[in-house]
Amino acid sequence: MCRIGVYICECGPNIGRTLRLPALVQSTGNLTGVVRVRRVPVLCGREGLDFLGEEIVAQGLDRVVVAGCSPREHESTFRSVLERAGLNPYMLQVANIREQCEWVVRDRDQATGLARRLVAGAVARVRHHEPLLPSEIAVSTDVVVIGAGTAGVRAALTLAGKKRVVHLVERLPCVGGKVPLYEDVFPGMACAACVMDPMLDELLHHDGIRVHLMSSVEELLGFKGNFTVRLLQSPRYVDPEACLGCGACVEACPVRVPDEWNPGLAERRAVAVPYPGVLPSLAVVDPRHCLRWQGEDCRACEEACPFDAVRFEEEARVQEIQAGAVIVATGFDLSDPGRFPQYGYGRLADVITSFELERMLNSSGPTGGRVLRKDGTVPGHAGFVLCVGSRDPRAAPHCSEVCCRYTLKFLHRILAQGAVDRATVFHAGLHLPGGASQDLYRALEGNPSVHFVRMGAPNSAGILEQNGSLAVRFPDEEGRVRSHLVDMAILAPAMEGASGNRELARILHLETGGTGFFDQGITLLDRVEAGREGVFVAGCAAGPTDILGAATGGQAAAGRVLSELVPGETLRLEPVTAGVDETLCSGCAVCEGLCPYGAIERKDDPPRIMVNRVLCRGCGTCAAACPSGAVHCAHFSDGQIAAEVEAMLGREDQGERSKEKGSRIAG
Amino acid sequence: MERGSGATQSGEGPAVFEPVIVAFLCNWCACEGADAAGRARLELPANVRPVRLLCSGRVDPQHVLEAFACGADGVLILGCRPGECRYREGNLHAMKRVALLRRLLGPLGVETERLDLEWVAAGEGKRYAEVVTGMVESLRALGPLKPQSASTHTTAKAPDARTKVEL
Repeated sequence: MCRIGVYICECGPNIGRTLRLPALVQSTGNLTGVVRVRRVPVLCGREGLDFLGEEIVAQGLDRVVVAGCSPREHESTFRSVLERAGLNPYMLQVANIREQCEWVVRDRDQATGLARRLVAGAVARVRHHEPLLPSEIAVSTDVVVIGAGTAGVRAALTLAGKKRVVHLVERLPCVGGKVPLYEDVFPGMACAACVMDPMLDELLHHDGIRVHLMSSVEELLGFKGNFTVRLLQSPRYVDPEACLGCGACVEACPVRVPDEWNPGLAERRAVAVPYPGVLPSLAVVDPRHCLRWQGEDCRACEEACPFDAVRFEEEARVQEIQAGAVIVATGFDLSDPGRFPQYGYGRLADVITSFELERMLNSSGPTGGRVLRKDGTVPGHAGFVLCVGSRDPRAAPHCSEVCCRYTLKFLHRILAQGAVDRATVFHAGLHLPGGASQDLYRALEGNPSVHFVRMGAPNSAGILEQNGSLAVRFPDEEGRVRSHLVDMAILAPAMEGASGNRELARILHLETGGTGFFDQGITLLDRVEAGREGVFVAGCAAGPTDILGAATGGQAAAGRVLSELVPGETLRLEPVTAGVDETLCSGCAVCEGLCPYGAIERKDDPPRIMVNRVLCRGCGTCAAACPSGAVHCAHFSDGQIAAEVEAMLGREDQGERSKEKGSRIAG
Repeated sequence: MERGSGATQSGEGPAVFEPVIVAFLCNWCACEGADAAGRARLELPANVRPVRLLCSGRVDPQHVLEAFACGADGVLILGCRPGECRYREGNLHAMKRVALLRRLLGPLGVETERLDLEWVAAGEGKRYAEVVTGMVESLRALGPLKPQSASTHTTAKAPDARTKVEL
């Protein structure tokens, strides 16, 4: 037999003006299991809380109902009182007679009648409450960070600063991502290498960070605090301990192929040091092009190396890492403007992408910092075409965030070095957030060499060849087709999720949005949520952002890991989760596909499902779908819900009858 | 004794049928919306019996049937707007279940207006008030849920559900 105490809070003057409290006290006293009903002036105050604690002990209560304000206000406060008084905190039910009764119902009789039903519902429900205990598991506090660009490196350094072991996984043979390939960065026109190199040096010399280059995550097993990550590392065919990146091997290599680091601008060899200033400064052999993989016995690089660093016998390595959390920082790729034939990219020689211009402007890049047309001449008039794919629902619906600002950066750079005589920017509205970007824009205002021309819509321009020049054509805001002649057109392609994101999403059990970003878990207050416990997303992997945004994202994701996984502490698992009665479960696994967190796993022999309590967040959609009533939901069980509904409908006074299974029709 | 269904308002003038509605509220949006209505002191009918759940996706079709069997004249499920579910798409699962339930309830003699699913965001106190008031008004017009079947229900077990089909 239950011993339920019901405490009706008057909330100062707030409850009892409409409600007839004496009548409520009287009817509540008649409810099954209720041994005590008291009115309290202010239950959430110091005195009220002390009183409640004393009552629980003095009256020997095993369950408590508080009738007062919304449970969203003080449920946790009252749970703490129960706990201090030796009761399990889940033996409480709150009836909201303030927001959902006193404050909204004007008629005194009707309000009192409703309050009686709300309290009866709470009393009937609390009779079915069961003590719930949080469980605890041991965790690994090591972290796997995928992607060694700005976001990943900031995350790794932040974590390592608090002595976490970090495995930084990068599919390329170098760290730093895209920023080290630029000359300047907006909004302050800082030198990119000066910003990045000290950070990358710190990374490569940090004892707590293991950098896994040319590596990819092949499998992720387990759950928050207990992941097993399988890494596949491709061979470099060069011993990083011996190589100094001197380039003697490169000179000797007879193979020439297009250089991915300088698309359309340069060739590289089959053995290469990726780009000048690359970190770590190491050569890498590309087996897709090296003659040895075409059946020839070429050893030119091996013979040229003064340090005997070439290792043709090297093989791919698989290793497994135990980690507590994963941070996805895979960055972005620029979409291929060839997708829109009207721009002529790939067909017209002097239509290039912003990345190609970045490489040209880089003083250690393929043109030594000079802007050149394909015929080697200097363009007199450069045209910058913005929103190539961006903000177009048929292509990339999003704004790519950075294109307007890097275009201003380009303008300052090319005008400062006299690379062109004139520049025209074709835009569909400039996106220049922040004071520094506005400064960058204002500094160009009134400059007779720069023109900003407004297009009628994003992604609406086309480029044609006209008498050796390029004609940029677009409808203006009035719909009239305009045409401007330029010598070189620089396209700002839409940013999209890194090319490997969809495959990585499959491996990590995450979802990507339509443009390949890991943006499905993001909320207004959380840009690092990936949608799976223990996995976070940082930087452009979550959607377009600038360098500062990427760095901040890396730090934020690291912060989440630092606060959630602490060495020496176990992981506390909330008890409000689903569970399975294996005697009822047939293993149909209807629930498995519904679970948004991958918390349900089907097992064989006998067929059944299991709920992973680390991953489960207690929403209960599995329990709602279970055809056999095998899945139950702690603290929101069918019996508890049915008892509350019945009592609120006036069925509660019909004497004690078994509600152990509620009134489940099939049960 | 106070009954769920068929209660009439006493007082002068003709008696008005007062329906009783069980409202399953998502903890994260509709519950907060209902509280917002309270904080704004909006006037609400006393006909609604709110049940707090973590997600509208927790509502088992059986909970709905039990509510009707126990005398509710209407059942309202209030969840987060599409795309805003705390648990990603529990609200969409609720929507599918409601669609199926309404198809089943019709042949059982329960008018489909008696079951509704609406989206109410956390700040939408006014919308909460409009939704519940609207349902109360439409059920006042519709009248009690089949008095003969409702009154024969003393318990909510399977035989009763079958009886209802035979009726």
